[in-house]
Amino acid sequence: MKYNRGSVLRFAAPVRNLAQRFAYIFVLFGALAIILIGRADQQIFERVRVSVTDVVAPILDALSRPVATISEIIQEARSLSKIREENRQLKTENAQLTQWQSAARALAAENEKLRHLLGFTPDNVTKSVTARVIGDSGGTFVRNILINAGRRAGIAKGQAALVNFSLIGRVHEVGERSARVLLITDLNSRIPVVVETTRQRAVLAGDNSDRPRLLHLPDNVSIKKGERIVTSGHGGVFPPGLPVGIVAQTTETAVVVKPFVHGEKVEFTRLIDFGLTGVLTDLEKRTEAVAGQ
Amino acid sequence: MIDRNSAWYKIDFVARRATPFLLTMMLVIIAQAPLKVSGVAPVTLSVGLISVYYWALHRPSMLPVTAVFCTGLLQDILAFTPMGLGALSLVIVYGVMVSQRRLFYGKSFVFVWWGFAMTAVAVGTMRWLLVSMIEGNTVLFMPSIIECVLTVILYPIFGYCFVLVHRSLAQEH
Repeated sequence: MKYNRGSVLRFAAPVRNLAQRFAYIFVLFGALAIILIGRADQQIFERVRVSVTDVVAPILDALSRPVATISEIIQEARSLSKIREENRQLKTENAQLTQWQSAARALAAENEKLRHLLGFTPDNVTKSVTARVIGDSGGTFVRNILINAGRRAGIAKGQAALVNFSLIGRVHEVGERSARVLLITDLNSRIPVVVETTRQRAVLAGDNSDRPRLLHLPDNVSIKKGERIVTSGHGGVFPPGLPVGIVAQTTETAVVVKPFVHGEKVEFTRLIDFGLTGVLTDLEKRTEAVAGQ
Repeated sequence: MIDRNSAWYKIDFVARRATPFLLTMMLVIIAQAPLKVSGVAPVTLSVGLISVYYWALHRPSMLPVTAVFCTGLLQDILAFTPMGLGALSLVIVYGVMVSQRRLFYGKSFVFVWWGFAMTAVAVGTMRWLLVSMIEGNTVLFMPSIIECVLTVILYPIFGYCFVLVHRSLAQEH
């Protein structure tokens, strides 16, 4: 059987046009609806997001390796020029650290003795997992990183992400083999902290810039530049005393903190389970309430 | 003479039709990899926008609107931006570009590039406004400007790659 191609086309073209137009409008409203639904219930797309990310994770994992190698080579070449200066610096630092080491040893021994005298039971040993960073959001609207370890590796929501013992963020979403870490610089990050020397409590709030700010400080408090900011342990998400950053700038309106580690520049991070995730949702509610005031 | 009913022809046809979409998805994924050199700010780039602009202008039939929508969603999922934001902005760009194809027909590359710069500025501003509305707070504008500038600067490189792909797809046996 033979079709008359001309007449079929004459009939099919407007229908196809109409169908395409319909598809366009459908898709446009679909996108709008997704935004509205996502706005109303932020958790609703979590499962979809997590499973898609899980599927893409192995690809990103494979991609991140050569990128990391190239990055290392460039860094190597850069550091060659500074090697003499660095060597001198390291020698001084080493001398200082040796002193600290002997002090720490003496203290550890004394601590051990005192604990023995008190019959003190130490805290549960915390578990840690080291993961590779396989993706970053770029930071236009959000500040987070994707890591190549998930539920299977023992990662759970709320765990602290550390680099060199400094806090860079906390686990926000967990898949089977990937997880997303919300950095302390993210707009939605709120961390209860204290100024190390004065024990002044505050909330460290990210604003997507590299420098988060301290919120909820009383008016009469003076905070000096260069003071260390550590986690306070309030709200029960992180244990107290994790180093976060130092005060970089204090103005009349804001106290700006420079994090010890730039979370988007790291290649590996250590996820630590302090077993304190139980009150996380409660904390989120509370910080939201505080932020809303 | 080509046998249009042979299995190979059909496979070839589907592969050709799917290439722009698969290429776009791949670029969106690659753009998420931590492409950073220590000491240099992380490079942010909306590759989805470049791809959608190119194909909407040159061969919209190769990248249907549903593919654009999926690209946007994948971008939102991977970049953790509010769900639907990327999809909405890409679908709007697609619609505008398809309807304005005649304006760009036979124009020089510089004109097309200029058009892209205008589009990128408009999309960047729209996305910033939407995110600020969704977050209920004005988010920083500077990262949007950086992303916009980088995307516009790098457009010719991606555009050139797309031209190559486009040509190889258009070749008949």
